[in-house]
Amino acid sequence: MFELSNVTVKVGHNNLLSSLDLRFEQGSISAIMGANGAGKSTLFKSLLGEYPVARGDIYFKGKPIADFTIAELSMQRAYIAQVKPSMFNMLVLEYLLLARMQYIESAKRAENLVLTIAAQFSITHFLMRNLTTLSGGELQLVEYVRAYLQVYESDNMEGKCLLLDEPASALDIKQTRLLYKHLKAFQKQMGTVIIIDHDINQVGALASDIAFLKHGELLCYGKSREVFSKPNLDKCFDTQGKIISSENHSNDFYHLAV
Amino acid sequence: MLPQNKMQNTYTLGQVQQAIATRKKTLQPKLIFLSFLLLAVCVLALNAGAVDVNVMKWLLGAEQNALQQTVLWEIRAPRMLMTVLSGAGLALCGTVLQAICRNPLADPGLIGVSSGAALFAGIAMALLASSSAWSTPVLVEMYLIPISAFIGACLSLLLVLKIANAANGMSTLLLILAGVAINAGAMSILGVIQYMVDDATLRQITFWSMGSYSGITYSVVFVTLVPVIVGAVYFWKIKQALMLLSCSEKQAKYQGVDTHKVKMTSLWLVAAIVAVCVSFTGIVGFVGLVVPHVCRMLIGAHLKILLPASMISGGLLVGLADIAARTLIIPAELPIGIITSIVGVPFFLYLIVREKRKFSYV
Repeated sequence: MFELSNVTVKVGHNNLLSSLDLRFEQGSISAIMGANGAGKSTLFKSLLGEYPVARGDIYFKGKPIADFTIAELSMQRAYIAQVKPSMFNMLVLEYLLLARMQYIESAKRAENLVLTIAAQFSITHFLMRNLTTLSGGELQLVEYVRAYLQVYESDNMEGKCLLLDEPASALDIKQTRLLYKHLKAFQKQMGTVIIIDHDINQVGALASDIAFLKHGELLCYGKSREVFSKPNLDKCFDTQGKIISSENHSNDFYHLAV
Repeated sequence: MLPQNKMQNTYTLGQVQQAIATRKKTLQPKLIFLSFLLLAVCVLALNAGAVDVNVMKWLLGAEQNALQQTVLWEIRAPRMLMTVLSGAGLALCGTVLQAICRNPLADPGLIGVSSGAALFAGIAMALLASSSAWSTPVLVEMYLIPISAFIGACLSLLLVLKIANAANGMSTLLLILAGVAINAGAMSILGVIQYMVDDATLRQITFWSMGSYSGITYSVVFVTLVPVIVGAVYFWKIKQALMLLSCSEKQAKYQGVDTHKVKMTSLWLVAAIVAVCVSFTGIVGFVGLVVPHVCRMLIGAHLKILLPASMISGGLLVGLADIAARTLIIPAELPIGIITSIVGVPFFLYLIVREKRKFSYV
């Protein structure tokens, strides 16, 4: 899906990312882990084409990302930002309809689609509320639905990618669980997810692949049950923890004693 | 049953669909009502003034003398059209700028366009006054002020854009800051000019910067019509992009909006509209700032409604203000900018106080 080849991003004299080689496979859920300032968000922004890359290339579906138009990209990958900017007053429904802007379809069809998807994610009850009246958690859920709608063409999500920067930071445990379930379902529909999340244990259990970043460099990248290990985590976060193993290593837990 | 679950059940799909339908039904009549109001103001504008012209009688086929004919068709009609047109244009610009700048305080004055126009109009007036010793062709005299105002508006926009242009696109914060700086600069140079010119020119500059619709001809109306129509059509077409921009510029780009292109096109159109409106009539302040807010509070924030609503209301406000301007102290005329402020400020304050809560969108 996304591929970075020898990517270096510089701001001033600081290397935010140095010589990064990474390949996010279609149909995977890849988690990016790293301490604060390790370059996770920078990596995201390079994938989104926001930073000029000092060296190296970024490919999307095998083509340089610059070959895609803004509109083409918008229908194939959606991004959920870390910080929610303030907004003018708008109904949730109207906001979600804006996600369908790039698609050539009748207003009625767009509206029906929004209603259907909203019902799937059980947010029907606040469709007619103003965005500014939503709580942080509700807003994040709406944002997820928005991202989903933005790339939705049919239930087959092949070739669609969600870039999620801390999508669960304001969600309670139940909502987080719900969101992760949605992500799993999205993966089943052949979609690709790249996610940053500070709860490394939760996201470690969710992800199929994990990339560890440190000081803008790639420590290691691989299947999560192989790389989610004490040496990697210790090195990545400069900590001394221990792994509480689970059956078949699908739900290992990295524990730090206080 | 948990209260949360109960809440989720209170709004079913059917109810939402019904709510959408009702919403659509309530918005349309408001627009139609506004349009009728505007029509009434237009008729009133044709009727009102120093010379007694009765439009109603004329509509019913009554004879009119030559003076009444001339007053009605050569003076009042173009003037009425111009007030409605420029009011609509200024309000449209305000609505669009507020969305693009994500700033509720944005108005055409903010990005420095109208003060640039004012400065150059002032320079033109000073030049005309000093050149009165030798004779200037009538045509030059007539059009020098609007043309230089137009050049001033364009120059200040170019300057603002030049300053605000950063490596990765145009920064909206820089745009506003540059606009403020250019406003201050233009006003101080205008101050120097006002200090140097004779009293008559000083009066002329002062009145110009408060706006007046006297002496508007059909050609002026047509010149104004072009950018206002083009702007209205373009902004209507990109209303969704504008709404995304008003949420977040980066997110708008990720959702497929060519933000750079949209911003540049919109700013040039706004400058063109403001330039033509301001060039011929002087600065009619306040309309671009307040009309969008009033409409947002009274009618709705969705651009689908807000764009037409603020255009109609802008025309309404300026149309009414011009009627007041030329009837309150017959046979003299008040500067229209004073009236829009006197009428608008208390109304705006009243709305702010009444609807403090709704200002949460700021």
